[in-house]
Amino acid sequence: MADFLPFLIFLMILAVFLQAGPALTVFYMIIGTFLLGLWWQKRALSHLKVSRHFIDHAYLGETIQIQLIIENTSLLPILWLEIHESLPVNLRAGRDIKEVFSLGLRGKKTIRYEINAFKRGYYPIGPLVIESGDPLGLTKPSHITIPETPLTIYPRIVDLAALGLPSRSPFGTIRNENPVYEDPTRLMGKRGFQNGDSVRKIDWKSSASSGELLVKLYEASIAIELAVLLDLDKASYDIDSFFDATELAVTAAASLAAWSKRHQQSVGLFTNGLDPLAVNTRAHALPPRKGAGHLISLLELLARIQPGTSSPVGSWLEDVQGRLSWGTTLLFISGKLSPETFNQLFQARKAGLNPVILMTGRPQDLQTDRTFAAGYHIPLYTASSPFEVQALGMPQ
Amino acid sequence: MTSQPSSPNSTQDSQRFVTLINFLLVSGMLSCLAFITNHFIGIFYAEWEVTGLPVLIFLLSFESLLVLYIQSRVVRYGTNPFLSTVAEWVLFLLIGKLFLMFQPGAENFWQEILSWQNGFLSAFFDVRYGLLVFFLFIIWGLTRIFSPPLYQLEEDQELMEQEKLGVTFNDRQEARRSLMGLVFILGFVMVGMTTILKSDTEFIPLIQTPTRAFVIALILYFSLAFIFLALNHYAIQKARWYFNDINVNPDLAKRWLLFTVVFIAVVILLTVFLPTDFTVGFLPVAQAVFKGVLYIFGLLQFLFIFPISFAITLISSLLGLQQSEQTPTQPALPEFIPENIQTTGELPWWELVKSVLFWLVFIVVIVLAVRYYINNHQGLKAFFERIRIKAWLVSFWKWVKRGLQKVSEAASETVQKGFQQIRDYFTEREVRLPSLKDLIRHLPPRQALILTYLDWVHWNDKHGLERKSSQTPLEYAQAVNQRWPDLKDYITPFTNDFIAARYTSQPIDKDQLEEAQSLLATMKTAILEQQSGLIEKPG
Repeated sequence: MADFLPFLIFLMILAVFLQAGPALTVFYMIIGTFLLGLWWQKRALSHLKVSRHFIDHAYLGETIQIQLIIENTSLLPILWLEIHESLPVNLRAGRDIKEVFSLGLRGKKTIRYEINAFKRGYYPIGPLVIESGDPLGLTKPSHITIPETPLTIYPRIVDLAALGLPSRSPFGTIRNENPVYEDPTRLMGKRGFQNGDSVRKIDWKSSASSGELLVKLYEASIAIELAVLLDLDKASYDIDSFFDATELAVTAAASLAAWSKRHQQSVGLFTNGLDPLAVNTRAHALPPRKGAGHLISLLELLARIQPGTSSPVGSWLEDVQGRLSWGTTLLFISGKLSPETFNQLFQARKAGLNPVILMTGRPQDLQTDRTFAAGYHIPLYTASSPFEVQALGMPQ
Repeated sequence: MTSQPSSPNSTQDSQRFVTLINFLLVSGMLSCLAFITNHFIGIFYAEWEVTGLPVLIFLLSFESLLVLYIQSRVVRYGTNPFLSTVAEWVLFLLIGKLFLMFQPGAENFWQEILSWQNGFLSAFFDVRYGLLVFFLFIIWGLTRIFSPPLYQLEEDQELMEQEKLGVTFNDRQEARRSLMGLVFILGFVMVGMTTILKSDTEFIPLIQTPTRAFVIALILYFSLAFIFLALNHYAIQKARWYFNDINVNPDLAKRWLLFTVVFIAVVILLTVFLPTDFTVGFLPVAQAVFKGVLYIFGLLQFLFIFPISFAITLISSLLGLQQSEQTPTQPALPEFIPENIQTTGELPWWELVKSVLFWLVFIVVIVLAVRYYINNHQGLKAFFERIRIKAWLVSFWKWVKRGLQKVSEAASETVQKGFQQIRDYFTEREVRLPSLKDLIRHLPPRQALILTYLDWVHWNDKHGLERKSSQTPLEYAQAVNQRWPDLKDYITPFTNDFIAARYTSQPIDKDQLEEAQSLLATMKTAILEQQSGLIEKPG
């Protein structure tokens, strides 16, 4: 239409000079159609109310129902609306939501679709591009963009039923066979006094009523304050098993966090992975804490985190161990170990922490690593599949 | 997903429906062309008196479009296009002749047949018939021009499948452009013919048909054309959506048609009410508008100045102030007499309003169209940006705005000053009222002396020695004495005079009053001199 405009204007001016009424009517009609169409389409788009509804957090394997509501708040109908909702490739195998429909006066259109949580991550749902135009195609179609809404898919969590992590922290909630860590709050029973028993253990009331000197027996318990050190530096994994090993590391970290929560233990997460939401993409540390809220924060970070080129393990470990309290179990998850790393972990052990190593993927020089670990008295676990993560707790 | 892709059968039905509508629209458009052309031929050939030509053209063009469609789409093979065209033309010629034989009425039919006895060829192939055949040929040709792009835009499922696979390519945009060009060219030809038909040129005979009929024909043509273009646009969009695997609501075709009809109806309604005739030219209208603006400005000025002027006059008269001999001219209500309006109508004002409205709409439409055109042509836009016309206009606007702001500030300042002066005038009046000089002249000596003392006290209040309410006149005199020791010789007799007048029944005469006033004047002078640093002993 724009190509015809100069010609139309020329004819209109000519018609004015000739005072030709019918010609002016026609020109008004042509330009009126054009201007009305332009105004209509602009107005139509500016009076659209779009909302996207879905539960923005999901567990792996779940199906997420998404509802897209497009509402015309104007009294003018909209002839055609072309919508294009972009979806992450991981969730819908590259298929996008594309549809064309019309909306009547104050009309509403609800589009429902599903996506599958195939892979953990932090995904943008959208953006939604809406295009509309006039019925005659005299003007260029206009479009608006509705911004994306984030969706968090938590990492896989496996049940760590047999997990037995070492600890130096007594008086916790986990039963322990070592009688050194007897917990005076967990009374197990009573028995007769024997030589060598502490006077403080004598139950005076029971002794008075039974006429025999009785001592209290306590259950031994420990508290495991766990700090998960998740190494996601690209250099720490073999290129062959990079993807699987890093995902497994994240799974192990999430499973340990869930296990700690179930056993009412404190858990923290330190990682050198890349967080898309963080400033400079450096993930912030989550110091050990208890509670469901903390677990959710931890899982959200694990959902978002991506492996990449980040700070070297040595300096990072040194930085982290200074922030942990005495007796904390330090679980270092990585795909590759270097003598420097062993040295750092040994220093941590000397500082009163309990380092434990979990290697994911298929480490090439495992035997050497085991030798080093044994030399430094650091427990070492390996896992090349989620099933092996589930079977953690058996020192090898 | 809520909507399902349409089935092939429903797509085919929908496409046939759209094709049929397109044929009807094209036939209708050609029929409108025939209506105007019929009158246009009448100018050059006075014996051309044909009624019902638009109906004939509608039927024949529809037939032509349909035949061509059947040949190319339904019976693709086994037909001879040449024979088919010959058969079609034989039919056209016969129908055309029959149509003319019944003009102007059925009685002409037998006269026509009887005239064949005198010479068949000359009687059969007369000028009217020749003209009609020529016009039919043009219409037939137009249907042939309309058809190929129409087929190109048709939703052919097989062809589209091949296009999707990249085997073939169909330039639908080009087809639509050619259709649009054709529609507009025909439309402008019709507009041109109507302008010539209704012009006041001498050689053109007076047409009985009213202008309104031509306007209706033109509006009808463009309405049908716009619906036709809308359906073509839908076809292009549909193809695009198909290639992009976009689900389309199956009812969209019908809604598109309905919406377009409503849309065009709204446009027609708006168009009908817009002014098309004007009696006053652009320059006189501009002159009148300019005068109108000046009139409004004058009126505002009058409304602003008149109340102030009235209030000042009223206050002056109330206070008994003498009016100056030269009375300022009162503001007069401006008059608006637009000149040079030459109209034939009985209501020149109404003609002026109509003309102003027309030019306003005309200019707005032109400006919007030019703006859109420039925005859609990046080269032109860049050119205008390069010559910095926008920057120049912006700086010009800022300059105008600055000027207006200065004028506004100056006006506001003037008004504020005016108000301040009025306020000061009343404030000063309040201060002046306690000045007892005027009153003293008209009072008896006793009261006058008392007021003279009060004047002394007030004057001292202003010059730094306030009298406490607990102070007696003698205590006050003592305080004055302490402050200004040089006044001792004056303050004591002055205070005694006041005490005598205020607290005793001694007779007070005019001499005593004058003495007190003289003492007061001396004391005031002495104090003022002391305060200004010129210490000079009185007397």
